[in-house]
Amino acid sequence: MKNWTIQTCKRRSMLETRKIDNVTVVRLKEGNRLNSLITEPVKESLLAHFQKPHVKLAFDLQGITFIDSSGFGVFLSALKAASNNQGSFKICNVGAEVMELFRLLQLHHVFEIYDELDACMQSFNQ
Amino acid sequence: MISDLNYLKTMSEGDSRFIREMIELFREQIGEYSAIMPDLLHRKDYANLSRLAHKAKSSVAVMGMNKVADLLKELEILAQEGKEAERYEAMVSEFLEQSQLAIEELDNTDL
Repeated sequence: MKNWTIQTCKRRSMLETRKIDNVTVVRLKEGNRLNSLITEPVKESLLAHFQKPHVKLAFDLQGITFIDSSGFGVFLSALKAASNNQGSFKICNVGAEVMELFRLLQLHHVFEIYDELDACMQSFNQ
Repeated sequence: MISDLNYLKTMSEGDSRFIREMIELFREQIGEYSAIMPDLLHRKDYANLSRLAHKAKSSVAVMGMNKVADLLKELEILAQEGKEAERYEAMVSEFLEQSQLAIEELDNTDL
């Protein structure tokens, strides 16, 4: 398993990134909340990945206990960016509290969500 | 009013940017349903029509379109069992027409 590396960009990135085969896996570098305090730099880092075509990216939500509307907005932007550039955006390791938020917003039908990273990785190869 | 954004406003604490993204997503979803549902009807693929009705039910519910959500729930159940197939076309048409009207309404809604 490859180690996490801290992504560098002009602004301080909030994401850690690693590559597994041809899939980019990202997660929050610190904290357990994806809210308006951090969504702008997270969005900037995330969308930068989809500037290239055919990017496969999984957002690992392990340890995240809360996402607010701005956080879900980031995911919607990422999904759109991926779609516009023939890429894939998937989500994994969603805790019960956060999954409930996805359901309340009916977004569990919109995103591909996997309980575990392994299942998510396999789905990219299907 | 066909749509009602109160639910989304409550959930997002009035985050208009997020609500606009959800409306845009809804527009895209309706575009997809408009393309796929008539084909499923034509091919009498009622199992997939039922699954899509289930998904569409969520899309309209979050936009506060409760009557259309009820219609889709009925379509989902009927199509799952292949009952009263002669009604499906009218139900799909009603859903798509109401959704287009809702999109126009939402585009003119002040957030």
